[in-house]
Amino acid sequence: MNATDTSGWNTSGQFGSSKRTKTPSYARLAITDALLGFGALTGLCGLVGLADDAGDSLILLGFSVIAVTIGLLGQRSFVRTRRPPSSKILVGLVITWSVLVVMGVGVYLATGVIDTVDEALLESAAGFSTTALTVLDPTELSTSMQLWRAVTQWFGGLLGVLIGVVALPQALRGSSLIGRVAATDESRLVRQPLLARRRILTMYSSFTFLLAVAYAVTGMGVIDSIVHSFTTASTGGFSSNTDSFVGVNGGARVVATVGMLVAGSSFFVAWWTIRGRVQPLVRSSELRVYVAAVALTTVAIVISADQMSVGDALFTAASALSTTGYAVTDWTTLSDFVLAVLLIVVAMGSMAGSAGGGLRVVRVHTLMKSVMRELRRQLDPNVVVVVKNSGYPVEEESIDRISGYHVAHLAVCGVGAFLLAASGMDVVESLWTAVSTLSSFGPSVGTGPFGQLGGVSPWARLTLVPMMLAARLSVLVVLLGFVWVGGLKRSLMISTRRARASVRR
Amino acid sequence: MTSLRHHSEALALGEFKSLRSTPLNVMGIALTAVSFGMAISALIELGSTNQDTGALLISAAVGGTVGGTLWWRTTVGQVRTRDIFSAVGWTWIVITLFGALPFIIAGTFASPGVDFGEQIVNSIFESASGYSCTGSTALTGDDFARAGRGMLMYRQATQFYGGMGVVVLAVAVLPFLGVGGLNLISAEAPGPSSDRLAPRVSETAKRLWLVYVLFTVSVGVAMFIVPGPSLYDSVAHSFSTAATGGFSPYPDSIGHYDSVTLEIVLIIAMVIGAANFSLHWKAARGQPTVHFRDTEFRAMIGFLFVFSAMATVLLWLDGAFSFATSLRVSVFNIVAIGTSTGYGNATGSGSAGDFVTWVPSVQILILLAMLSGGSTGSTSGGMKVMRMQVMWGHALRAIRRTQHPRAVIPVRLGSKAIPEKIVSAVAGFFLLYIVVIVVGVMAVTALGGGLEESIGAVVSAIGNDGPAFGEAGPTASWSEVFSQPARLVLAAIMLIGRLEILPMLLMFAAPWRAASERSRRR
Repeated sequence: MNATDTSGWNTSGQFGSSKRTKTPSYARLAITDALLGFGALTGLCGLVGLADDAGDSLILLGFSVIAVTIGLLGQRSFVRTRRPPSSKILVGLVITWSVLVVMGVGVYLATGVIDTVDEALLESAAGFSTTALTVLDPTELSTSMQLWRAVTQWFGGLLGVLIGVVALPQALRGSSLIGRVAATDESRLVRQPLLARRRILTMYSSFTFLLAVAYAVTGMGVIDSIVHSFTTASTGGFSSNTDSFVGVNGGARVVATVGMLVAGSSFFVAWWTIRGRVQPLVRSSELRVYVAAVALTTVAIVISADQMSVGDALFTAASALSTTGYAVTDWTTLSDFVLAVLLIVVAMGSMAGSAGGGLRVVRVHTLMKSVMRELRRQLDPNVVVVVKNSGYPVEEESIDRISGYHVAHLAVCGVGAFLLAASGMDVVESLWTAVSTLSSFGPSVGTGPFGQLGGVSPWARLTLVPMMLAARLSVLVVLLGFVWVGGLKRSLMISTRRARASVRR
Repeated sequence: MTSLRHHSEALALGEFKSLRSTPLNVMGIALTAVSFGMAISALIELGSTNQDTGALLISAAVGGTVGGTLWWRTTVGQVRTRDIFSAVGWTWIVITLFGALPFIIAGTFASPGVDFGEQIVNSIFESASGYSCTGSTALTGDDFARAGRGMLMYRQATQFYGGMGVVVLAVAVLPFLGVGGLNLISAEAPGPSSDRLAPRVSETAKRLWLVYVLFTVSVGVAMFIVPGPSLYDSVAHSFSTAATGGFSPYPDSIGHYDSVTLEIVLIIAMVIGAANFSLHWKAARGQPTVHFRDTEFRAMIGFLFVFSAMATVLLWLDGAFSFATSLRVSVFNIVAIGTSTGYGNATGSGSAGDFVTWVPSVQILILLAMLSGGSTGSTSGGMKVMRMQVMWGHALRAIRRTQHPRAVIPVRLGSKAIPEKIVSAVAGFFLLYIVVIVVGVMAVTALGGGLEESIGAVVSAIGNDGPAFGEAGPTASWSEVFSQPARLVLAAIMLIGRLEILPMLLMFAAPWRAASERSRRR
C-alpha cells in the first residue's frame, strides 16, 4: 500500500472510480452519508412497528424514503475532497448533526408524540447527543417510536465515535485525544480513515447485538432488549421504562453495568482485546485511570450510602463514568459527598475513543501530569520534564491544546450554568445540570435521576440544546462557530467602512 | 568530623553566634511584627472595655520573645528556590497558629456549650481567615457582643498584616537578600510576578508597604469624614478595606451603618485595594494616568462594571427590589466579592443585601466573580484578572488552532505577546486552582457540609472572599454551618489561596529534598 492510498484515495484525488463530474465536498457528503444510514434505520423501525401502530410506522417509513432518497442523490452528486481543510470537516460535522436533529424534530411533530417545537427539539437533540434527558413518558410510545427513539441515540453514539476516532484526528492533523499507544502501528485502527470507519461500525454493531442477546437472555422483552442494547452501546441512557432500571431484574442490571463499562472504555481497548494484544492493554495509563475511577467511585458510594448494595453502587458509578445516564435508584437523594463525587466523575467522563462524553479520562490524566510538571518547574526552573502518557511522550502542542480545551470547556460550563440559573434552577441544580449536559450524561440534581424535563422552562430547553451539541461535537467546534461569527462581523464592519470611505470619495 | 571541629571552634571564637536559616529569620521578624500589633491592640483594650487586655499582652509577650529570639539568633542564609517556599509557607502557618493564641486565652469563642477543643478550632479558623484576608467568621452574634474592643481591633489588624504580607514586611527590614528576596516577595504577593519598584529588593518591599500604609490611612480618613463610623470604626474598617479582607467589628458588617455614602466610599476603596500597588506607586511618582493604560486594570473595571450591570438588571427584573435598591446592593456586593473583600451590606438575614436570597443567576455571577478576583500585585485574592486574561487568550488560541492546526498563534495581553513559559505556568496554576477546589469540595462534603455550602465555601476560601452560599451566606457564622474538621480544612484552603497554592504545596519539598540529599551522600 503506497503513501497515496493509505487514506483510501486514488491518484486522481477522488475515491474509488467516481466520475469527475461530481462536486467535491466533504460537508455535503457527510450529510448525505448520515441521512442514508439514518434513513435506512428509520425505515427498519417503521417496518418492525407496523403491526403495533401503523400510523407512526408509516410516518417513519415516509421519513425514511425521503432521507434515503436525499442520501442516494447526494452520493451520486458529491465526492470527497482529497484533503479537506479542518474547518470544512468541523463545519460538516456541525451541519450533519443539525440536519439529523431537524429530521428528528420532524418525526416527533409528524407523529404527534410531541406537540411543541421546543420540546421536540430538546428530545431530538438529547437523542442524537446521547444525553439521557427526556420530555416523554416512554411507556406511552408505540413500538416503532420506542425503537426509533433508541436508534437516535445509537446513531448519535456512532457519530460521536467516528468524530472522536476518525474526523477530529483528521481535522487536527494528529490526535490530541487518543493516547500515543493508539496511534502506533500496534493498532492500525485509525491508519486509514475509511477502513477505521468500517471496523468501528462492525464492532459497534456487534457489541449492540451481543448486548441485545444478553438482555433477552436475562428475561427482558425483545423490544426492551433492543432498546436498551442501543442505548447502552451508545452510552445514551434512554430507557423504555419511565424510571430507567429501577425494578428491572438483577441479570439485566449486570448486563447493563458491564455494557456501560465497556461502552465507556475506548474502542481501542475493544480492538486490542479482539486482536489478543495484551501489551497495549497493560500499558494504557488511560485504562488504568478509568478502572481506578470506577473502583474508587463505587467505594465512595458504598461507604457513604448505607442502604446501597455494591452492585447498585457499581451500576451508578458505571453510569456516571460512561456518561450513560441509567439509574437503578434515586441517587439524587444520596449524601452531598456522593453528589460531589458523582459531579466530578461525570465532568471527567469516559475514555477517549468511546461513545461517551465529558472531558475524557486521557485529557484529565494528561492535565494532572502537566500540573505535576509545573510544580516541579517551580522548584527547579531549568529542569526538562517530559509528560508521558502510557509510557510515550506527549507533544507540547497536545498539552497546550488540551489545557486550552479544558479552559474553554469550563467557560462553556460557567455560561451554561448562568443561563440555566436564569431559567429558575438554583445554584447547585444549574451547576450540576450544566456539567451533566456538557458531558452528555443527562440526569442531574436539577432534573432528577431519570432526566425528566417536563417542568423545565422553555429558556432552559433552549440553553440545553447548544450544550448538547457542544457535548457531542466537542466544545471547541461550537466555540469555533462563535469565532467564525465574530470574524464575519469584523469583515462586515471592514466592508462597511470601505463602503463609507468610497462614498466620501 | 573536620567540619564539626571547625564549627565548634568557630562557636568558641564567637565567630558564628547565629544560625544560618532564612525561613527561621523571616519567621522571627514576622512574629515580632505581629506581636507589635497585639501590643497596640492591648493598649486599645486597656483604654476601652479592658477585659481581654491580659490575653493580648501575654500573646504579645510570647510572640515578641520567640520572634525576637529567632530574629536575633539567626541570620539569612542562602536563598534557594526551595528555601523560598519553605520560608513563606512555614511563616504563614506559624503566624496563623500564633495568631489564634489571643482568642484562645481570652475565651473569645467560649459561648455556652462550646468546649475547649471547638474554641481552639474556631480560634485557628478566625486567625486563618484574618491573616489570609478572607473575612469568613466563626464568631456568632453573642461572641461579637462579648468580645472586647481591643480584641476586635486585633482581629482587624490580622487582616492589615495579611494584606501586604508579613514576608514582604520581613524583606523590607532585611538588609540584603539579592535576587532571592524578590522571589520571596513573589512567593507571597498575589500574581504571577512582582514588579521591581527599586533596584534594591528591600527598598521595593519598603515602598510597597509605604503605599499600603498611606492607602490604609486615606481610607480611614475618608470613612471618618463620612457620617456614621466613629474613629474606632474608621480605623478598624480601614485595615480590612485596604487589605481587601472583609472583617468588621459588627456581625452585620457594613449593613450596620445602612449608609449609601459610606458604601460608595468603600466601593472606591475596594477597587483601589484590588488594583496593582505598583501602579499606585507610579501614579504617586508623576504618572497619574498609569492605571488607565494598564490592560489588567481596565479589564478589572470592565468585568466589575458588566457583572454589576447584569446583577442589577436581573435583580430588578425579578421584581423583589426597586431599581435603586437593586443597583445599590448589586454594585456593592459584586465589587465586594470581585475584589475579594467580602463585606456585606445586608442589614440582617433575609434583607436586601443578603445575596443568598437573590435569584440564582446572580448567585452564579457572584460565584464567577469569586473565581476571578482582583489584579496581580494587589491585596486581593482569587485567580487574578491577568491570569483570566491569559487563560482567555489561551482558550481562544485553542479554538483558532482547531481551525488552523499548524498556525503559530501567540497569546497576547493588550498588544504584548506573552512568552510560552508564562502561558504554561498560568495554565498550570489555573489547573491547580481547580484541583484544590475539587479536592476541597470533596473533603468538606465528606465532613458533613452541604453541597451548595461546600462549593461556595471552598471557592470563597481559596479566593479569600468571605461569604458563601446557602446557609453560609454573608450574615452567617461558619461555626454554625460546618463541622470542626471541615472548618480546619477551610482554614487550610484559605492559606493555600492567600499564598496562591505553590508555597503551601512546595514548602515540604525543602526538608524532604534535604533529607534525601543527606541519605544519598551517606
